[in-house]
Amino acid sequence: MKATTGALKGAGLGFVSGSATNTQITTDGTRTGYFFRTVPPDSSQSQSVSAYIVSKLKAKNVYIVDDQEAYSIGLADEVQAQLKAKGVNVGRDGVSQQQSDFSAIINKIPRDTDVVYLPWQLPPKGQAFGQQMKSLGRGSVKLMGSDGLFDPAFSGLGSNVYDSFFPVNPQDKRVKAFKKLHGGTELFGAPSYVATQVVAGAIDKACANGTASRAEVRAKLRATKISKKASLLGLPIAFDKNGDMVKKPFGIYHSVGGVFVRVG
Amino acid sequence: MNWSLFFGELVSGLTLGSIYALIALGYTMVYGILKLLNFAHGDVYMVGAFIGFFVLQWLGGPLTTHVTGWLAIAIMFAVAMLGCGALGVGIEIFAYRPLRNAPRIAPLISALGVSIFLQNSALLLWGPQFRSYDTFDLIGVKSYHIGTNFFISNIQIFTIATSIGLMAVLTWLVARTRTGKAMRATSFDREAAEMMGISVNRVISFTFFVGSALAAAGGVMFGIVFGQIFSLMGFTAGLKGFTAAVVGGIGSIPGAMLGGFLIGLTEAFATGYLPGGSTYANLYVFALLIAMFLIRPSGLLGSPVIQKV
Repeated sequence: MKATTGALKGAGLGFVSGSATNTQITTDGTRTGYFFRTVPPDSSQSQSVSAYIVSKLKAKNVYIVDDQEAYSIGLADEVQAQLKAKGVNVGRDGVSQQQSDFSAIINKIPRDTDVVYLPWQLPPKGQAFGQQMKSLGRGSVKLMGSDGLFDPAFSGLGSNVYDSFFPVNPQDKRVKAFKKLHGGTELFGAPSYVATQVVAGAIDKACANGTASRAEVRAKLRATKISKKASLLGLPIAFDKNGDMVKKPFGIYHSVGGVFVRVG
Repeated sequence: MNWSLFFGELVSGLTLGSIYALIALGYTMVYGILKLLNFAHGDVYMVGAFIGFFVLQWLGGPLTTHVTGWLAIAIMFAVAMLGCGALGVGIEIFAYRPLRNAPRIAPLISALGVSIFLQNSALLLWGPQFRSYDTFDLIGVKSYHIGTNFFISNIQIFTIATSIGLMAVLTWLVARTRTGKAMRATSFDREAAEMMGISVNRVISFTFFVGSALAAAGGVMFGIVFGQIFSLMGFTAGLKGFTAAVVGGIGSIPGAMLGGFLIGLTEAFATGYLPGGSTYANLYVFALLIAMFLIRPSGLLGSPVIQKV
């Protein structure tokens, strides 16, 4: 996403993301007025995750394994800093997204580790990591994933698995219909759907007088207001001056019977 | 000294090394016979992993196999090895045999072409997604420990033992059988072997069959141990297998085995002990390759090539 900024901004285009969660995208000031997102930032996710690890899981020793990509490293840095600030012992390592053999890195994880945090993007990799933890006799260690691992492949590992994910309103009839049709495995669709709603709404309003400029569309994006009822996320959509949603909670989920159930 | 970490990395390195050794054997056998670096070999390994996966699905999948878990694994190995053996023979007949008398660069380019063809065919046929062997559901994975520091799983024991068993069979085949003698003769002097009545084409085909079958065994092992396979898995594994063959001494069968274990152990211990080890494990592996080229170009067990001028 960062790589496209120059081209889009240079053309005066506003852009809305339903998946870019890196905190700095909105706070570094380079895209203000152009970029908006319908997902909470990593700062929100990291706060939810670190608070849950400390207050609910009562972890004293946490090991973080990032996947060496910008998304993963940014999120891992934030969770690491917040856990350290709360007095937790934190170890840190990284793996490549291409890697499938995690046994060597699992050997490195201290035996007294309570939680391994995996801010990864590929659920099959999270699944392979969990299976290899089990095969090496470490199946009781709790695994906490990020939104990228919110998938049945990861939750199916067992009751030692936790995850964090965007807000989605499970009662919305469109979410229910989607789950019925597709088995509910692709929940990234919800914020992307809302992002499309935001874009379509802004263009529609900008064109109300028969003409529209890109500056007008950007102004309408900034002024977006979607009611809680009309939003798949189960919360009203409006943006602050940086382009983040005003309300941006992250949920914590626990695998119960192989399915993620919201617990925080 | 953290003995738990040491023994853990030792077992991980031997497990990974077993797979690299099986791949390296194919490289070294083909090079020994044809002086050709078969860069499609890594992709044959990938095809073997996929054949194993589809055989498992055909048997009912990991949760509901029609036969016991271990028998399913034996069938997966057998079909993958036969299938990839046939694939290896086909590759030799169509991509390398017509170029046997061409300049040496020609079959090398052909090998790269076959590699890309196999990779893209796999992407087209099976897609880019990861496929899971679900070994836990298939056979159940048990972890054993001796004292408080030494841990090993039944899958790791199976991988290392099977790999050593296959290498022993290959060593016997090459050293003690009539076919093995023909392979050694062809490797030593192809023309003289032909004049002595050996069917060189048949020997070369057989070599490709055996090398590809061993790669397929490596692919199935990878799926069983690490749980998942994907269409592009052959590229890096092939490079590591090639590195193992070179480090051990290309053309030398014991060298390929030694090289494979050495590369696996380097990767595991680099991850466990060196700074940024997991991030830069491949850097350490390929640094070993460069160091070997500089210090002993013929590899650990290879013989220097003496050419008459």
